Amino acid sequence: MTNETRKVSLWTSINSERKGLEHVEGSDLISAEVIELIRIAFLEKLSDKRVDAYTHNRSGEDVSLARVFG
Amino acid sequence: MNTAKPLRFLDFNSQENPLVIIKQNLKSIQSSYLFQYLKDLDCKSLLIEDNYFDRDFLSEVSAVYCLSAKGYPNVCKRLHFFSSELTREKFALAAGSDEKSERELNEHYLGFIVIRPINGSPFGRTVLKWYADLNRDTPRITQPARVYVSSLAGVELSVNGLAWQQQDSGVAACATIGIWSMLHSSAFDARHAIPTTSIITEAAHSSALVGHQTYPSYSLTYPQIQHAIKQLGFSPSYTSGDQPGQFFSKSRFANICAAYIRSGYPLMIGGSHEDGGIGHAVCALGFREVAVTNTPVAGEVYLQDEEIEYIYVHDDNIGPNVRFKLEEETYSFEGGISTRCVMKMEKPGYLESDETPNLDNTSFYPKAVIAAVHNDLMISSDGFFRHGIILTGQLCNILNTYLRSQGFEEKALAFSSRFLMLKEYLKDELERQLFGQPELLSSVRMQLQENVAPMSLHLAILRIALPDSSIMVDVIFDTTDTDKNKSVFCHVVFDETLARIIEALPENMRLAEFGAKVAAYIK
Repeated sequence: MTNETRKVSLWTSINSERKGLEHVEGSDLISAEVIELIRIAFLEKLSDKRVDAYTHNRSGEDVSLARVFG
Repeated sequence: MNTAKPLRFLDFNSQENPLVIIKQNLKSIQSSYLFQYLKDLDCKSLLIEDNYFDRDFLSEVSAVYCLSAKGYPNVCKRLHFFSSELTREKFALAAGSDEKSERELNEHYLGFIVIRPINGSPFGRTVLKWYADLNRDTPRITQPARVYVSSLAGVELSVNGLAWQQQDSGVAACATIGIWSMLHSSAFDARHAIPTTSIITEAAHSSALVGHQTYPSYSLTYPQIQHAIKQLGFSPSYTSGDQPGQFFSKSRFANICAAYIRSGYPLMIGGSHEDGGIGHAVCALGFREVAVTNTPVAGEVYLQDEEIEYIYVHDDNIGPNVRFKLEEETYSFEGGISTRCVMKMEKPGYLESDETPNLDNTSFYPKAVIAAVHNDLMISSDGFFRHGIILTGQLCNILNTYLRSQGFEEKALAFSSRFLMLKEYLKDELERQLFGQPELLSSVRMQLQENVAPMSLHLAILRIALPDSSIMVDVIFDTTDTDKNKSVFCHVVFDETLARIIEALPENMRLAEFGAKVAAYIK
């Protein structure tokens, strides 16, 4: 059974069932031109608004120390 | 004086079953829930120890109930439940060390409930077996659960779960019970004795800054909860909602729950049943794993765990292992409209029953989560998510740069994160991941042992994969450094092509972001 039909998660999949990336047989070297493109791509500034969601705790809005859990 | 009493063996539906008696007399939600839960587990019989000294209750007696004019006894009952008929003769065989009988008892053992001699809140320490998990590919994750062994007449009965109990509002409030359940977690097995409820309440009140009358304990505040966790030798990891009014977005709440629970840390969830209602705290101990279901768009980064739909909660006002569905709803606040996460109790379809009252009517709005974590865990789940989003985005960028240059189709990536002990990663996680590939498993373990700088006791694992869950790389971070430093030990790379792409980065950049290379593929 393949991952496509089983819908496994990142923590239940196993290596022997994984699909790899495409690979150019016999060309293990990446050209200098592509290496430079990879370097530039890695440094490219990314904007992802989800980062903000993990930046702002709203603890300042917790109106008082008196919020109780009973 | 306490006196000798024989063990009693009853049919589950017997009118002498203490659970049935409590249900009839109190008509409480907890008694109905526990009765239904056990019925759903196909409970057929129970064994009653009428004399049981419970460590927690003895501590409660010592702190509060011994002062009462009522004269509370110090002995409890303990009820053991079975999914088969149990007779005195069968149990006596097991007591004679008959292996077959003892094994059969354990195969049908459903767990236990301690019944305290407190009329209004009788349910003490309770550990019940989980109901069947029908989906093995996206299983129920209950990492904090541990094995509890009960011993009576020399017979050992084992059940896997996490302890729950009802608040008595004398020694313990809901938050106290939440902390108590959290500290029962398997994550702490190696290093501490589990504190009793009275020890927790007294720890919460041990600072003059947060002092009010210790007993009776009706409630705790956020600072008291965090203070108690610190006093008991752990670090409180606090996260509050990201939306106006301190509510959570569903995706963030789901991600945080998954990250901690998958790591074995239960979470105390503070919130309220209604807007502005009285605060309540519950303890989350499980969730249903998910696969990435979105149709992947090339170049996008997916957070697998934000799609989680179900979490499992100990609610002292309801019972253990209560299933809640995570939903998103629109709400208005001063200045606009937003969406927030709401937890709605939902019994699994295959456990439907016509019992009354209908318990599936509870909604809960989470506003803060607090985990008790090991003191060496310096990085936060929030900080790790931020870094995960950015690093996976960068990896997606360079991957697609390469794929474009070769004329291949571009890809999306997904990630998930967890904290894990080094020994558990080396032993269980790699063994599961590399199942059936002993030579590769050996090679990866040896590389991690010999080629990587000494690693911390706990690791932060960023697992990056294609959206179909084909694992590409585990990036392994140091948990003993700060969020800002993002100290990385190594990357265990499962794909040779991706390994070559990462190797194309300048060495200083590669080592700073991915650490040492561990090859987990066959060359």
